[in-house]
Amino acid sequence: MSIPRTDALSRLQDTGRFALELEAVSRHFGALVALADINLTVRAGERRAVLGSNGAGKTTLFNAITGDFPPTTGSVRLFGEVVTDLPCQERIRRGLRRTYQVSLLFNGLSVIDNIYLACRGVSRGRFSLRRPRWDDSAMQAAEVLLAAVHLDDVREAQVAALSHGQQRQLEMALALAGAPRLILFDEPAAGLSPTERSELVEILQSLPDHIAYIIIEHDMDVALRVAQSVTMLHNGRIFKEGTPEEIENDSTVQELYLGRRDG
Amino acid sequence: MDARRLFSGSVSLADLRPATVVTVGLLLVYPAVATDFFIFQIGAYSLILGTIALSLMMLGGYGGMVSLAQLTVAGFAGYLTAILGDNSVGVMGLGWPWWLTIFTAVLGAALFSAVIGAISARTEGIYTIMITLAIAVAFFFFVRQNYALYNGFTGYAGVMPPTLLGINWRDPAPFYYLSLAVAGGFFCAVLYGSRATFGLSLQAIRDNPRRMRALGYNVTLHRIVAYFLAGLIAGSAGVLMVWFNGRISPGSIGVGVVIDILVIAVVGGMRHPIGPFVGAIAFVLLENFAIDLIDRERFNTVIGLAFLLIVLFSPDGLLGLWSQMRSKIRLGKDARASAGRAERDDRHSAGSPKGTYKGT
Amino acid sequence: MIGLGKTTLAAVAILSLTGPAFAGEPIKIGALATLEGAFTVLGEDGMRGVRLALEEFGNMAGGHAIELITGSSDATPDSAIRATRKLVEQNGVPILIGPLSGSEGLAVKDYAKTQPNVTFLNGTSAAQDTTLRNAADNFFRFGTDGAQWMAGLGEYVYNEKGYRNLAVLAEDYSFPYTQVFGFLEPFCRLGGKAPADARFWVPIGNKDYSSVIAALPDDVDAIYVALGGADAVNFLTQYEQAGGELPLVGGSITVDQTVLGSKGRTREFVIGTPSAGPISDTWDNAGWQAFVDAYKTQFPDGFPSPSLFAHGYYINTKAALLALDAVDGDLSDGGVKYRAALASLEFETPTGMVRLDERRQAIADIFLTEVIEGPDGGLLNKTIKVIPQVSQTLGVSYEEFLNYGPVSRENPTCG
Repeated sequence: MSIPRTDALSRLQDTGRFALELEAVSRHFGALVALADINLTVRAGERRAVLGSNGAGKTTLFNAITGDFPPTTGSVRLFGEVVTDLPCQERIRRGLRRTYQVSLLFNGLSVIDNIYLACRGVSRGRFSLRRPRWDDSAMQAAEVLLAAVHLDDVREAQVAALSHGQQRQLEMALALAGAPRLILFDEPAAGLSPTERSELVEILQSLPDHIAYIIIEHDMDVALRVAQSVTMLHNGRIFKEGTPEEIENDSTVQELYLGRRDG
Repeated sequence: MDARRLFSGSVSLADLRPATVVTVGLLLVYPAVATDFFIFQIGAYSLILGTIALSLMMLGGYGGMVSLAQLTVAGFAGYLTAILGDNSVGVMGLGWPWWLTIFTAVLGAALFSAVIGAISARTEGIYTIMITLAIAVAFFFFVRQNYALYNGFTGYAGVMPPTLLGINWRDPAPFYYLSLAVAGGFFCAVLYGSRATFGLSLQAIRDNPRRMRALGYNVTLHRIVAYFLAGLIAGSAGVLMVWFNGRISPGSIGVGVVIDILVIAVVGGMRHPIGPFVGAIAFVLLENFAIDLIDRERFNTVIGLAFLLIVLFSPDGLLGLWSQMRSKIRLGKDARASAGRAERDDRHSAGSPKGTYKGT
Repeated sequence: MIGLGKTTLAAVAILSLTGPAFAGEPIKIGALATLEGAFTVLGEDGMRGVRLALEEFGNMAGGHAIELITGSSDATPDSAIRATRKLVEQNGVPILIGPLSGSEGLAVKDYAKTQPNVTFLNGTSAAQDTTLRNAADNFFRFGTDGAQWMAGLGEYVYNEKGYRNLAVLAEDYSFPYTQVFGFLEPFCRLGGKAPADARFWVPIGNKDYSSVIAALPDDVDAIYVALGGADAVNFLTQYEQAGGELPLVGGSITVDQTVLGSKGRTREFVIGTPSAGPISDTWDNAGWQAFVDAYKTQFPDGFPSPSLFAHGYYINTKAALLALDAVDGDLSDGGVKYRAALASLEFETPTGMVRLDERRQAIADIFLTEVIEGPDGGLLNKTIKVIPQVSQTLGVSYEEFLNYGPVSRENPTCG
């Protein structure tokens, strides 16, 4: 097992057609089957939404992909490489990122330090005992991201003091740090104001073409605007796949999920 | 100076200059004005205990890992010093040159600490405390039973620092400056390191290990490295400790002393590297003089009560007490400056950033 | 800086030379005992011994009032040294009495060498090497050591009890080593056997003796038990439940009140157990009885009878005060005259005459006792015999005694 230390470009070149391939992935918690026989492929640069009611297995799916809770059976392939047995950080270093339903940030640190650590996480020097200089590449990347998510005016603020909206933006920044190729967004719009939602949609739509992402989102307006394809999960199984239009117009889906939401 | 920035460790020299200059000045002239007893047993001993507690503060305050085995690591270095160098009990005492003895003792202690880290790095919170306490107790019983290497119950005596540059480093003033150099060096290193990449990542792991993993960090390895670095600190202090006592025996690393180090760190405050030293001074003064304050057999009650009160009124120890006082004073000034303006009165108020940040 | 430090050192040295010399000024005496940790109760009784002696002298010696300053350790050498250093360097005591336990005594003896102007008198620490090897010129011990305490016991069990083969069960540290040595040395010289594989060493505070009991050999006449009282009770209870029936021989702190107060079948074992030590509670002697009465009067909350810790601290404090009287409280020469007075001091204690050998170690009487059932049904230690004037070298010359080697698990070999 070797840690890839190539730069983003060369990584792009040896990328396969698929960002993610799940083969017969299952996840059991004791007797509970949270995921059953999931086969899912995401092309490089594809944007996909995962829909499903609470308990459908959406977050478990993310955890299986990142390795937070590895699958019980089945295989996970990232960018053409089997990563089923690799720990979380190794998958991250191959270009995978994720956000969390509830913000998981470093509350004792400043905003810039949060982003800096995210940029540093996929490069050399993670164990450096020296303070980062301003011209450090990870620090410079952090500054760019800071501006991109409009947090430059709270650069030095401690994360615990940020508003919810700002924390969600920071969450986004951490996911975008360090040349990701596949990002898993877990309900990024939860708890945001309408204005903040439309800003989020803008950010998602403006991501570079080579970045693929999977988004879990209860807000159908957001989900269907930012996704090219949709996967419906129900009771831990894939229930339907298709374009946003197909899903929106599917009667079973409407009955199961959209109908209930409107009702 | 912003208290929050002080506690998060982001203090630049400019922030601290007057207080720092005065403190450093006092520490340097202290031997000129104090008696030998105060130089050696109060001054040097506080610095040594403070340095051991500093290694705990670094692991606990920055890394979120409260290790009770830091004194054990220091004791291991002390034992190595007695075993590899010279002692007067006629067991071991391999007579290595002083520099090789110290180097091996400190490095050995750091590796020992790293092994403790490897054992406990996958645990959190109370389980880390329990597993490191178990290691400390196991090591205590091991050295007490082992005669071939550790000379059992008796331990080692006659362990002295070398005489270098014509100075006997065990004399009060030289030993004080030696301890001050080691303590001050590690204090500055920890302060600097708290803003270094590794220090930041350690604090991030404290806040959220799972997220750190999801950013590409090998959390377990980071923790083990933190234990290794803390072991360098504790090990160096351990060499000073065995020189200070001139001896080491199982009693030197017993459970009571292990808990003392925790008390020092907690009472001083775990949020800034100065905390352990404040705690150590308070501890050493009480240990020496509580018996004079209350001329009874139960003077330990006084020590216990004093520490209980501190922790009760300030979860962040003496440092927290100090920042509470500062914030009260500041609140008073603010109230006068803008009469009638309601002020936040929680203890974090002094630390929250100026103004509020709403939305985007 | 370093120069300044040396100046301070010199100043302090001069001060300690001239400090307490003025007539009529109180003389400070430091007393160090274990007022914390596992031996707290014992340390408190040691302090009673100090106060008892001071009371006897009306808090005056050599024309000066005595100011008592107490120090506390937790029985570890480190804490004993810190407390000693505080008493000597901070409080400036010219005379210090203590410590209580063996390894503390060795540490304080080493420290004494760095303070030649201060006079140290032992409390009850009973390690041999405190005065036997590398002795400090200013460290005096008017109490006997752990090997002396066993005087007469080895001969007694060999000749009177007729034991030839013994198993040994003792705690695994220096004090029991010293006791085992003191007991086995004469026993083995007479022809008794207690080989190394019949000796069992357990940690202090050991709770489970089942593996020891299982390993005890069957072909021995008795078990020599050198465990502290609480540990001894644990062993006896488990030994009785396991059906053991061998008679016992006790160390100096084995058959104490906790053991004598035990109930049930354990009593059967205990009756007839011989042991030896520096005191005997029931000694029918006017001096001893007066001592016990004074103790009970002054300390109604103390033990029913003074422990060997009260006794040891009392004797050493009394020696300190008698020598102060002898030099009229004059310590102005850094205590040179005072220590000369101590070295030649010879006085009557509640347990007989005591004097010092050339290494400032006491030569005193030792008591051989045996547990009997008292008239009220309770168990007590009956005084069998007083072994007069036991020296540290147990009757042989210093050089010959050194050839026996330091105490350890294997000394004497006695195979």
